[in-house]
Amino acid sequence: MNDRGFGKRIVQELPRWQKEGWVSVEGSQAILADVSARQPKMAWASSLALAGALLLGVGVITWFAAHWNEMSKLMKLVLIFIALTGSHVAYGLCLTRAALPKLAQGMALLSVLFFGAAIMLVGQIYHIDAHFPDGIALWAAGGLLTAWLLNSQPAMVASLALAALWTWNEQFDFRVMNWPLLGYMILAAVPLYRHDWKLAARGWGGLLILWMIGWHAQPWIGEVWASHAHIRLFALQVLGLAGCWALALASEHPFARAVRADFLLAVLIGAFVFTFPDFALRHAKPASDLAPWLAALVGAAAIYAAGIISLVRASELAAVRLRIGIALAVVFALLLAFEVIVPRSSSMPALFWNAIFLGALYWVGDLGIRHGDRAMVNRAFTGFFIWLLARYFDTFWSLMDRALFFMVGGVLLLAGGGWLEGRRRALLRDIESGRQP
Amino acid sequence: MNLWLKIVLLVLVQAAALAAMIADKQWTLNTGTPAVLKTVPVDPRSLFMGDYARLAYSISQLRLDGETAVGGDKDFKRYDTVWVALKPDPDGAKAISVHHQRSAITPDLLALKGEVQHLNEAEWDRTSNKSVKQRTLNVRYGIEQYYVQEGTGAQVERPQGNEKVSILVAIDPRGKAGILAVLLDGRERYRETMF
Repeated sequence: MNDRGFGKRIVQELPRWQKEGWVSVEGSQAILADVSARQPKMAWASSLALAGALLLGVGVITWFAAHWNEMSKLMKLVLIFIALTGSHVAYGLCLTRAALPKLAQGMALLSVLFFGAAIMLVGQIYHIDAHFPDGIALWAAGGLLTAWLLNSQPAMVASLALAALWTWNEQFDFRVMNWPLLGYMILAAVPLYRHDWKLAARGWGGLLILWMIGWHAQPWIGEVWASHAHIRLFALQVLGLAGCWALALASEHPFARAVRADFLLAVLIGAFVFTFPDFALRHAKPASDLAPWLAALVGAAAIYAAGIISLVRASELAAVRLRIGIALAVVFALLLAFEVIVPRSSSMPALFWNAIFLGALYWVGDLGIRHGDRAMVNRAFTGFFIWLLARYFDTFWSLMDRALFFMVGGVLLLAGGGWLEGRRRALLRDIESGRQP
Repeated sequence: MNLWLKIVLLVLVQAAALAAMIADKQWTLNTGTPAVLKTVPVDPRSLFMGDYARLAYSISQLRLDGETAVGGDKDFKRYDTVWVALKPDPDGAKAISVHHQRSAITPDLLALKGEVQHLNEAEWDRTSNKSVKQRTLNVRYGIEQYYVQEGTGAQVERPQGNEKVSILVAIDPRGKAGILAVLLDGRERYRETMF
């Protein structure tokens, strides 16, 4: 539950608890004071400051555009420098003189926008017509430096969005691997490690996943629907991401806590794709040279093994549950390794994938219940509903002559789904009330 | 680190990045070998679009086969880096050959670096009204945009009579090109300056 929801609930419940004699008057007042102090304040101030920064940025750039022709080159450069420096100085003044931290964040975002405008305007003044994504990369780097030096999450989010645009252009438009992005991501991870910036941390995770998807757009791997190399690469990526998720889950660091939600979602989607019986059957063929794939498999497996070992070490689960978890992890890795080494020749692997997917969902749900993590429970149930619908529909459509049988089956499944939803709500109530299910 | 020191550092680094962009371009203009390139209007009715001109050159399209083919390598794909050997000419430099490596260009020719935008396998023959096999490279050199002041580009945009627009470029030792001047019938219309 978020802080605002928690605060509302406490305010509603406290009079009853006081009446029942569970909480004293002083205790009640102390709780209310504490809740009030922890409420996120001035959300509007923050939003207005950021919106103001955007409007001011657009306004100044538009003014430049309207009066550009009347100025000499030197005057244009001076104005660009003043605008850029002005936003930085305004940030400093907001913090030191006016004690306006929210407005200061707006100024930090404004300075990122001005730096981008400055790159474009200098490009225009000197007719610089370079490789387009390079300009975006320079802008993203400037934003990262701003976020780093000015301790600004909005600047970091803007920089990550620009980095996403940069890698999109390089990998999907120009179809070249964006290796320099890895350097950017390592540098971006430093401030994210130091600060509790949840939104930016999730953006970082999303950027990593986007970069990995971009591998599939590269010409060396062949056309998406005509090469089994994509399935091998996909399996390796799922394995590597599963390892990253396990590493993040074993850590209590705020950065790790933030990114693991993205990684888990990506891994679950990856595993779900493999549950389809027809997946990759048409293009299954052995690799002409298996050695590079095996080397990559060893690398991804090392990340995965490191993650699982960290998770086991940090685990407080009972021995039986832990053994089930390890067995699931091993089978999951073996199935992925199988997809890399042996092309599918029948729908048999899908049977195992369905079993492991359900097992993984159960494990994720169980983990969510034990950690009191509503998002994990919801994710597990959502995954189960989607799986249920997918299996029902792919079976229904392939066996139309037995439609009635499957319609009855569908009704039964839906009834089961309803029961599960009831069970999910009961579990969430138990989590909220602190009872162990 | 003190907040104001951080701000000064940020300003210095960002200003240095912008200055590096300018310095790189100015270095090309100051040290490069001048060469005239003939332009080919992208759109005959409107050479200049908005505040900037889209320029295409006679060396933007390089034929790889047929009688007018350039020499050099033949196997290219999209986004490949190419080196074009240019023979300077007051009426417009001529593309002699195109290569993957700069070392293939002899020192008496100018080496211009470009990037393959498209590789066309056929072109439309207007006389026979048929598509004929003709491999053509469409190369981008980073000099295809020229920003002009609003209202002053009309003379260049719509050259009178038989006036010809050509561009004086400087090609530096790295093979990078920069626009030095816009020429109308060989006379300078716009000249680039530092400030």
